[in-house]
Amino acid sequence: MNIRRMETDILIIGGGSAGCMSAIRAKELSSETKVCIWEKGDFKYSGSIARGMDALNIVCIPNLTDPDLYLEAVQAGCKGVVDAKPSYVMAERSYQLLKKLEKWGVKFILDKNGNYRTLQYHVKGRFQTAMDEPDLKLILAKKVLEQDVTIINRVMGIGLLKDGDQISGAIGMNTRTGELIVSRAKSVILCAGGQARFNLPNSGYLYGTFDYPGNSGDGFIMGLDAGVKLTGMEYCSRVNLIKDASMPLLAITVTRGGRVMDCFENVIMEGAVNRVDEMNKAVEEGRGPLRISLKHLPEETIEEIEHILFSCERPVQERFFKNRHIDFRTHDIELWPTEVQLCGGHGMSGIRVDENAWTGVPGLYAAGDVACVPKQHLSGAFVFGEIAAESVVEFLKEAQDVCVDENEILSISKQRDSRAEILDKNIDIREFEYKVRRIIGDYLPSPKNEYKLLRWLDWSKVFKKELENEVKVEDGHDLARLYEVEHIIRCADCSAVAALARKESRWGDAHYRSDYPKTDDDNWLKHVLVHNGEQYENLDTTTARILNMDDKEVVHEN
Amino acid sequence: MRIDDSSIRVNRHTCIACGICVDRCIMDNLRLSVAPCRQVCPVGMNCQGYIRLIAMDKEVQALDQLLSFGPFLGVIAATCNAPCENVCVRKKRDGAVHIFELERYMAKKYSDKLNTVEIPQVLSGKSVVIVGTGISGLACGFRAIQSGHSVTLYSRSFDENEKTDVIKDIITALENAGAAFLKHTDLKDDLADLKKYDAVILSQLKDKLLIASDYFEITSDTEIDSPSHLLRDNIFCSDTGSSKKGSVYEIAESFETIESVNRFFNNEPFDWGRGFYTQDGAVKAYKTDPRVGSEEQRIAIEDLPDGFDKETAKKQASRCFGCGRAFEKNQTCWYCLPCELECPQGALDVAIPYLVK
Repeated sequence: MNIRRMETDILIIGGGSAGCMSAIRAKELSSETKVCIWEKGDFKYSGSIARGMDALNIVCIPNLTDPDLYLEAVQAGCKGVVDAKPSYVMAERSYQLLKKLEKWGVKFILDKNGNYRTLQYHVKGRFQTAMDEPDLKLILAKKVLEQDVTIINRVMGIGLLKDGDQISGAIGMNTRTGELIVSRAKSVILCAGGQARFNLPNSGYLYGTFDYPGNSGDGFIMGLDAGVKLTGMEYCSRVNLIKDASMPLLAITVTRGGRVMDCFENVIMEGAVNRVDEMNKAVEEGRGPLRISLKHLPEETIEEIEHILFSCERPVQERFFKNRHIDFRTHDIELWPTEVQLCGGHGMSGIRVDENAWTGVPGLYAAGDVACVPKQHLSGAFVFGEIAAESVVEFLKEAQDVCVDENEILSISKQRDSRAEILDKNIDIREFEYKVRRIIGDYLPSPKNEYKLLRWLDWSKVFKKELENEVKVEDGHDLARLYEVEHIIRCADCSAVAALARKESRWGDAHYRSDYPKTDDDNWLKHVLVHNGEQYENLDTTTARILNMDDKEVVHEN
Repeated sequence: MRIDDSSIRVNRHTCIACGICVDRCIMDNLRLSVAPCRQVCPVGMNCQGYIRLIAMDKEVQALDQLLSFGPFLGVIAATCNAPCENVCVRKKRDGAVHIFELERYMAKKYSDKLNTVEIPQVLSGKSVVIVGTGISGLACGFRAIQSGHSVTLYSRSFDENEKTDVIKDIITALENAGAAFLKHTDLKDDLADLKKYDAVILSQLKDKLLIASDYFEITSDTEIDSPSHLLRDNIFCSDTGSSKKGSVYEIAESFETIESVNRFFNNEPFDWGRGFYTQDGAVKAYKTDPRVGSEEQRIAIEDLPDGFDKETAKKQASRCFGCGRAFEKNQTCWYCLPCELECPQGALDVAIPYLVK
């Protein structure tokens, strides 16, 4: 099999929101720099924001909110486990970002007085700024295509290459043909998303996930093998969203006056999404299923909600509700906990980065859901996409030339050929993924305990053996999928070892250990970092202090 | 191969199997099941596509499907032995769809548009020289212009009188699109000139042997690599000496050669991801729907001395069963809807998978 070879200055892995922004910013700063994007799907619509979006989740609008208030809000939301600087910087640049998007033609909603329409999604402060943009991804893609950026579709990253300590490129796979591609690059920006395919969604349909199911933790695993540290992998949050569809609607409905109610008609939230913990508690206590009621709202508001739900982020909701004969004027919307996602965007899991989007590995930067800037959402993906590009352009000024490691490429290529071999293999790749994710669901979400977490690690060994020797793939698509399932298994390992290390309970049902049921700030108000090592499944954990604004200590030593 | 409509519903009457949805799917869920007529077509023409559009009274859109062949549609329509009709699913029932006659109908009716070679807005800035002005050389020239290159064609023995009208039209079309013809030029005299160009294409095997074999370092044993058509360095040969003779095969080889030249200019490997639609991506299995295709009978071509007119063309086109189509292969749908949004015919509906709905 031939391996495609290429060279570039900046290789961006992932062409979604963060990847597009990185490419645009890099070209703004240095038009001569060669930029290449590897995109797993098709660039025009790819990523978690396949279509549009209803809000820029975090914007500090001058005279309304400020970065200090945002920091308080996000610290409260993360129960203290968040480095201050990245979140602060994101908030600080968010208004400038909004203005930039507006200039590109992204439509933000203004009220009667000409002010941006803001909604309360956080405990404190109206940071969420309403947007009405069904074509957000198209606008971004067009901006990138105006630049001289090489875009290679249908490539998933499977490994990073290093020259000594420094990044020297990456190796990827064509998700249709299974062919390999190697790019030599002095710098790589990982924008490959989080891990959306963890346990099974409650519909039982493998791809019926909340988040874009192409995000299979590729970036976490590539980073891990290159020496980064992952944080928050034990944060297994499940949000109560539309039953079976697992699609977002909380912010859109509740911030416009919708009521979240338990089955005894108690109102849990109304007007602001500020008591998500209470929702989870109600479900735990058997007061579920919860539902959202819009019946009391005026027709005008219901139409506005329908317009947004049915046009922006997941327009398919319109036919979902139609199929189920649910009219918001007469029916409530039933909620159910979604599957777990490991995600740096709306969760707290990901590569630990500093305020410069640096991962700690020379030449390697990360932005978007793959990087942990807790609950940064779309604002964070955009801002850190830009920051990563700025840091890379700076890095390239001093960067040495790099070589790719031919032995590494050869061994990955050999492994690929052996996985593509079908002789004497009998396990269907789809069944394999189903079973892996079913077992993940059995052992990894809360309530957790040492016994369960260790049981997963036993299963993981079995799955890895089966993956190498027994799972049969028929074509290039299936082969790429096998690599995705490998990443799913290895992300689950990371989640298990991090959860084993954090001997306390925190974040409600995102990390509840029945053997350590109390929150223990004295010992555990800190990061649990997962990295390569010897303890379990080639992984090890350490802990790290949480860094404040005035901290002299830095996230990564140079 | 399971081809059904449980999650992705494709309207068999309107789908033209163009494959846009397959390309747009961000989960790589969709594949194209290719009709037998297209499977056997040497140039991979989407026969079903333009025929179904003629049947739907959308001739302008049908023409869009054929524009990439430009003036060569006329050559194919004049010379092809129509293997497509031989495999047409309707053949066994009451005679194959008149694929070939419909192609001639389109080529004749829209010759003005087809003879206008479209130059892309952004040019490549690369220059290509083609040795030989036979069908193969001209086809290379045509595709190279379409790809945005500046094109020069050399011909040693260029005799206007020997050329047919169709060929004369092609030469005019290429000249109008900016191609330079150096007629009656013997390359032996100015080989050094070739170095000016970013790529050199020998369009005929006999050129390869006759013209300065020393310069090109080739002998009668030299084999031409497939699929790259590369001889060495920046020199390509569009004639692989394959046993399949005929204009349509020459055109197919020429288009492949220019694909290689484009990859060469872009520093892309010759084989990576190539032929997705002719190999892995194009699924040979297909399922026909008896409800598609009218009861109209096949008519004898002898009864149509002037070929089809609009009405008869539409009637005969409506006999097509529309065998090919996009379908859900991998069961990875996230119901994000770009496929539906981008379908030019509005033929595709995303139904939510049963487990979720």
